[in-house]
Amino acid sequence: MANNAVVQVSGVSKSFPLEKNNVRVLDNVSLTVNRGDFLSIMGPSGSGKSTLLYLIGGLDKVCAGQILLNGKNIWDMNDRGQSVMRRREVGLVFQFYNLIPNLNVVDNILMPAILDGKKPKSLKKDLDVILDITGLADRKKHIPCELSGGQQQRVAIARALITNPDVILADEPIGNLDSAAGTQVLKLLQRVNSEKKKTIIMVTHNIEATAYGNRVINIKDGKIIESA
Amino acid sequence: MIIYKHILRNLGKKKLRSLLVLLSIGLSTALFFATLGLGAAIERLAIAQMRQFTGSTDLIMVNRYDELYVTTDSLLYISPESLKAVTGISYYAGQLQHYATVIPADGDRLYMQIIGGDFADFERFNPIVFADRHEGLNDFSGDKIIISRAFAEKHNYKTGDIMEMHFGKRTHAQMLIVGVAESTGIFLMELPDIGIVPMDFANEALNAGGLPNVIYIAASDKNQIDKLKQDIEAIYPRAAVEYAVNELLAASRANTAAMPFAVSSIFVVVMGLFIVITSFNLIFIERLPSLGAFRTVGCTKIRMTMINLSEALTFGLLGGVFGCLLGLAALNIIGGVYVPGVSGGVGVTFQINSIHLIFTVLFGAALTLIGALVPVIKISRIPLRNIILGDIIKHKKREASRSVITCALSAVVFAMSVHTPHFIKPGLTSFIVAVICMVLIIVASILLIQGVIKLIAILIGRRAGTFAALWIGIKNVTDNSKLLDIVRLITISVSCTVFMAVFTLSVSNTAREINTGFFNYDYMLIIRGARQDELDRLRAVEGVDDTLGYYTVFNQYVPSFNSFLSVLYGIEDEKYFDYVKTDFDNNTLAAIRGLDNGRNIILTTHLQRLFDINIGDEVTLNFYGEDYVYTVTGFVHSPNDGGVSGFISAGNIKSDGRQISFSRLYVRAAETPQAMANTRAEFLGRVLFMETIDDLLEESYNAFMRIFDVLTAYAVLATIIGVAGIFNNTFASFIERKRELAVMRSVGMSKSQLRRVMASEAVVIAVSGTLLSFAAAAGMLSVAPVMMGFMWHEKLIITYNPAIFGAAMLFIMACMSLAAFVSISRTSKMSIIEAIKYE
Repeated sequence: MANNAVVQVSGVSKSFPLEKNNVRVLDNVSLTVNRGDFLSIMGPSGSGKSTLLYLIGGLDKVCAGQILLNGKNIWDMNDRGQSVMRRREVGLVFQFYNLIPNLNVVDNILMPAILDGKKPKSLKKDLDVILDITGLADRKKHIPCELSGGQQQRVAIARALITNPDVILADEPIGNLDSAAGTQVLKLLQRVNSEKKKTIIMVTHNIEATAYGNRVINIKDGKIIESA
Repeated sequence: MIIYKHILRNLGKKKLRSLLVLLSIGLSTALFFATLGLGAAIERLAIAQMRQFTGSTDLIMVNRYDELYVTTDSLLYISPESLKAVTGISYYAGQLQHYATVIPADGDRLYMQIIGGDFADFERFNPIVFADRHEGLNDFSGDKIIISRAFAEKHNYKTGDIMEMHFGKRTHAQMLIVGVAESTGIFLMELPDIGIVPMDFANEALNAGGLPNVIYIAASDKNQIDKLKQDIEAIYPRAAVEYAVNELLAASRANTAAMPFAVSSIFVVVMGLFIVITSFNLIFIERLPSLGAFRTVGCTKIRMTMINLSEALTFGLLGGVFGCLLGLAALNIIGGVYVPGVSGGVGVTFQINSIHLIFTVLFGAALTLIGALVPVIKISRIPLRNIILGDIIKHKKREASRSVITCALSAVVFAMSVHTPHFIKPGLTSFIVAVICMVLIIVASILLIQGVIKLIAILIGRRAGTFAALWIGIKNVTDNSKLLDIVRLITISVSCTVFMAVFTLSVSNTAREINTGFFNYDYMLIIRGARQDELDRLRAVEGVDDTLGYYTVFNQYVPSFNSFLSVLYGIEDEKYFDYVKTDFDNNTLAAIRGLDNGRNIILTTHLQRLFDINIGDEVTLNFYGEDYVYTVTGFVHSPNDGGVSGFISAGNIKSDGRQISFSRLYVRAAETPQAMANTRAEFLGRVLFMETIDDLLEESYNAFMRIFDVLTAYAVLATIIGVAGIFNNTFASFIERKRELAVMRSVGMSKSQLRRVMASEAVVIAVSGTLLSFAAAAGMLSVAPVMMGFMWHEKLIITYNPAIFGAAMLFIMACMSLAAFVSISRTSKMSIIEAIKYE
């Protein structure tokens, strides 16, 4: 394993049961993502790109192969270990933001840290920085339904950053946004990548979005067909 | 058709939820059914009791100076000859009614009411239902008798046996038992036991000369009974002609008996409605994706609404049928537990007709349609775009000031509801206000829920680590409508149950407290035809220290109130109030002593409050169809007879009320059992009834408490509906929040943390539910004495028993532990990706 590798996917396969058959979504996929990479994963619908992202994030189990995150196999860990890993080492951003609707911006952002046992007061400095980066300083007390789609996605990114993880996993982060908001979000991710040195793995349909990253792979029928 | 199939398939898949909805509708409908049946059954019972002797006839005629059922030794006969000249009579039947002493093989002499008549007449207007018949019944004449099954079983008699009887001239008649009858018709209630003998035997024994002493008359036109009564009264000026059934009294009895159930039903139905609303909310939200799909392919909004409403209607009709079945079970329980308490031990059959059943099923359907209307309208207003995108739940931030105003207003309503009824004069108005205030107390408590939980959230604050789960749990409860619904259900059901339990206990304790020391005698007895001579003889019995005799008229009609006095007493002087203790001042004492100075009456303080009567007011009493005007000269507090009684002088009750003998005799004796035995020996064969005060109090107390036992059962049913609702909402909240929970898991919440969140939610719900339900119960209990003031003459003293509150707390904890367990077991199986992507 290369010392610089943050994520190492080796021979991973994933199938889902569909009626009486199994549908193979990922077929023997191998991939290495190095620290500081901004990797864009592209592919048509149903190609398995989001599944790969969720497997890296430990949200689902592989059928074959292994995934190492910072050299540790996620599926060697118990539920608590996986949860701690998701809090500290991975930040997840979804297409539909997936914020907790009844919590305000600050509470949504702080959620992973609170779950990690950190006292909200001790996070004030980090929170201010993140709010500044994401441009949400004036929206602290708002709840998600009071924000635009772009703002909600920025809250999701801020939440992904609060525990200072190594990797940000973004699943179609601009899929639900207009182009202006999408550009803002992509610029933010780029900034996070360049300034905070976070590794970003982004699943996208949008070829223009890949321009913000430094690496692109294409997946089709569960296999990586092109890597650049 | 495809849409209906889809809906039915969905219901099949959600078996448990469908069952919970059906259970809620069914239970609410069942109580409606039971209350409906109960009112009708009690009215029928009251009429059946009134028709015990009169059967299907319309009028009853006796000699004015004879009493109907407690007779004197000297009978007065009436010739029916003149009736032949009266038009409008379908038929009439004469009977000879008197008392006999029977000597069963197994024990003491017994007193028996004897009815002598022709068998054909009984068959015609008051048929006897036989449990067993003897061939001797084919020729019902001579020394033959028909007894009740209860009497036969008690004394080991069967048809064909011989029973010795002393009746008039026939001092040692050997009566052949030719029939054993069921407890209906004439044998509905036996006090004392009843025997039917052939007319020729009674005529010979009483030397009646072929004349009856009671005549039952059936009108040929039931609309002309009043006229017929007047015609007969004109021909028989010395006779008392009475209606066979007093419809007003029957309706009054039925209304009074069924009212507590009707009030309790309101709470249960409101809860059922609440559950129907929440259930359909969930059912429709779950089905939104399919509804969206149907809409996109061209199904109109109106059609979708109609489909949803037809589904609700299907549920309602099924729930209605289920409710009928449950209602029948409830009626059987009520019939077994409650009705004997109000019917003197007589069982009652609930006649369920098709109209009753249809009405109940329609009620179930209406309840469900009304309940489903809110979610159906809500769903129909969601734009198609939002349905397709799954963007349905709008979390709106409530203004803090609005929440504070809601809480403050609720607190004010709560406080006002607790205090207002106490300022209203006892009566129907105060009763209605008290019931409204009780409902308002519950409503205010429900509105306070969010505020209380927010307060707990502020106190706990945003914490990390172990407390993080608690903080998240509190936030979830505050903002999730389904979780709030659980708190609401707990508040409604537990407050009602605790209220009923404490209320019942308080009534019981108050009743005991009042009765203890109120009756100042050792035993009471009824002696046939007892007058002053008998009273003196009783006083001379060995072991008897002192005696008191008084007269009574039961169910005395008072035209001034258009109501009835349960008992009108005729008393000699203030000595009565030495035996039935009550405090009164010198003015009242003077009024008691002056009862005989004209037509004066003393009423109870309960009646004084109810009808707003003052001293000097005039009250009309109707005896045997004639009105007598009495002047109210005082008021006394009396816990007897539900506080609905009055006192006139013995002289007036004798002259106006035509009472000849003492109705009851009270005895004080140091050695009660011995004195009772001596009394029985002294008045051999003339003692109709004898009972110690302890037994009497125990019996009346038990009968009284049966009402509250059934009311408690209503509250328990409300709780069962509440529990069904709690689990329904637990499922609902889980489904509604599945995505949220998955998001939390995706950002690092471990399974154990999620379990702690679920447990915290359960704790917050349990704590807030307990606090508010106890507050609501306490609020309602503070109003309860005002409500009872209308129905009961005593001031209710509320007994706050910690055990009841403790049991309620344990119940809430058990429910929420189970609900938390269900939620936790579901979350452990939850797939994060599926929940995030597809929910």
